[in-house]
Amino acid sequence: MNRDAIIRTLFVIPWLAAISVIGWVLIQRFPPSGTVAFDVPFDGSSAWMDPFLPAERTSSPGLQEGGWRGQRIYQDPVYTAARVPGVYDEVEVVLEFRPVRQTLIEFGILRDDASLSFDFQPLWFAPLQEEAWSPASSGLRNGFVRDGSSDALLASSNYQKLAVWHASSTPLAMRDERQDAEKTEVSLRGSHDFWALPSGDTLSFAFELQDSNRKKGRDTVVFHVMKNERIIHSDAVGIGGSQDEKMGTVVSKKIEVSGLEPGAYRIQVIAEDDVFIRSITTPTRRWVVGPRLSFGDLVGYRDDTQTGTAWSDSRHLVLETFHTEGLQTVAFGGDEVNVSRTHDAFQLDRTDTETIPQKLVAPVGDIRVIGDGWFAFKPEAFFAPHPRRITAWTDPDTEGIDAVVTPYARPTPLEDGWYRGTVRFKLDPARDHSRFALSAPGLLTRAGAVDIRRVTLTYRRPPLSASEWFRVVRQEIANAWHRIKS
Amino acid sequence: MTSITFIKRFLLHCIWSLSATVVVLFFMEFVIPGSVTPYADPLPWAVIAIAALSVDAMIRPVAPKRWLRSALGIALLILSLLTISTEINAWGKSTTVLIFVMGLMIGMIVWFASGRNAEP
Repeated sequence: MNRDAIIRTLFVIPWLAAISVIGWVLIQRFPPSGTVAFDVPFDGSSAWMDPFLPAERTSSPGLQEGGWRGQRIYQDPVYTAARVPGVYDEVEVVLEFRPVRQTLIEFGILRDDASLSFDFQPLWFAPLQEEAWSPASSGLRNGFVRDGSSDALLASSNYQKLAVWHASSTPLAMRDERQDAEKTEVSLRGSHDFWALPSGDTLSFAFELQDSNRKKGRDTVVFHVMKNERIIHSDAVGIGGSQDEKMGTVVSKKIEVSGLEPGAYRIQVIAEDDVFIRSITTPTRRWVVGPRLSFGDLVGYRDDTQTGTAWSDSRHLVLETFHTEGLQTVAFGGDEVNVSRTHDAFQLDRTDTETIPQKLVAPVGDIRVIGDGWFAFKPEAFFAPHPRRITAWTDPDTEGIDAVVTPYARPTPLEDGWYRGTVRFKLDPARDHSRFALSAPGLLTRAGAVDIRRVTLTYRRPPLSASEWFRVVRQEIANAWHRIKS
Repeated sequence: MTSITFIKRFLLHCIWSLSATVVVLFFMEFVIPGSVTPYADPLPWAVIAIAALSVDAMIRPVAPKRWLRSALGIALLILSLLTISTEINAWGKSTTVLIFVMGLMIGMIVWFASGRNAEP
């Protein structure tokens, strides 16, 4: 080989460098291990994850008071987006955060753009950080158990002592003995969810319904009997005439389903607020309503008023009336609240440590109550069809909760009140971006904050094989085509 | 081959390989937004490549080969079509603007390289 030929081979060097650069970029996009991680300081400088928005609920990302770099969240919910670096099946989000006067934080991924529905995962619950709680599992149920309580509580249906947080519990399997039907006089307005145990193998509820005709026109009431969110029986009844203007006649409607297994059944009554339930007749001894209970008035039905009375295991109630006749002082256990304005929500929080249902008294009725538990019209009728869900206001000590079924993993404590928590989500391979939300209910009212200083995003898919490579490339082409088309 | 000739030709290869890399990276970024820019910013390199190509085209004593002009012309056409297709629904996208600028610059190179300084 002569000298010129050898020199000419040096001309290949710039082309090799070019191929290397393109190859390096391609390897970033298609890592052979199937895993890629980005450590993102949360100061707004990363191309992989945006700061949280809207801006009025957060501080500007960067240097914060106290000398740390990151972003402070003052109000929830806040949203962010992460650029997905290719076709991946799962993302692991590790957040370094600091809760300030905040008991509960959840982190979620957007699943449906149209309905803005997020899939939330637990990130932080202050009471479970205490030493009195230990991680435990029983059968398929994982969670935390208070020291001194049995792990078997997690798999039980002892809902008085059990709570759930983004998990499901063991379904209730109980029934009542066959008995004679009993009538309960009520005045309930609009839609309600009733929960009941079958009497023998039968569920039988007879409703007396009345159309108040405050809005002209015929009303239809729809009934669904459901178990585990599956409809097993449906029925409907039309009440009132299309031209009626006065209180309509009382119409009876019986819902009966036989051959039922033991368990908690939900009878959903769907009606407009024009419709009143005047009485309920059932042989079932244990049945409750909730979480919404709307005591109606008696205007046009009777001349007196009907006190709204119920027993509830709720710890927190929100009350609202829409009429001046409904202004009253509502008592719940040893606590009370004066509902002094119409169209305004009043909160009533129990301060006692009783674990048995407490009596709720609304002296003049005509008030809507939403609780975090269920309501029974007789104390002996009370049962909990589902365990309570952990909320930002849940206090396991005062509420008698000894076990929590949850996929929650305790965050790792760092220095100065910082924690490192991990959540994982399945990814839609057709998406270029993942949109996340951070929820910290009650943050504003507590004057609290959630500080975020660092996020590590780890994307995973199977290591590259021939078939996996084809799958990824095919999905990339489909995504690119979809992107160009749209 | 003299040293000067070698350096000139080596530089020419550097310019063309850089240009090819930039075109490939821009195309990747266009087809899959975010596939290049978070790792490397091709824009400064594109400016350098275009400047070098322009200088080369201006000082070149002969017109470039027919295949080269054809390739540049086809690249200009494709980039223009891509620009139009993205502008229809996504006006203001930075990728669109970059591709538009790239298309214009490649057009300038084609014009320069098409014989302005070529020998008859």
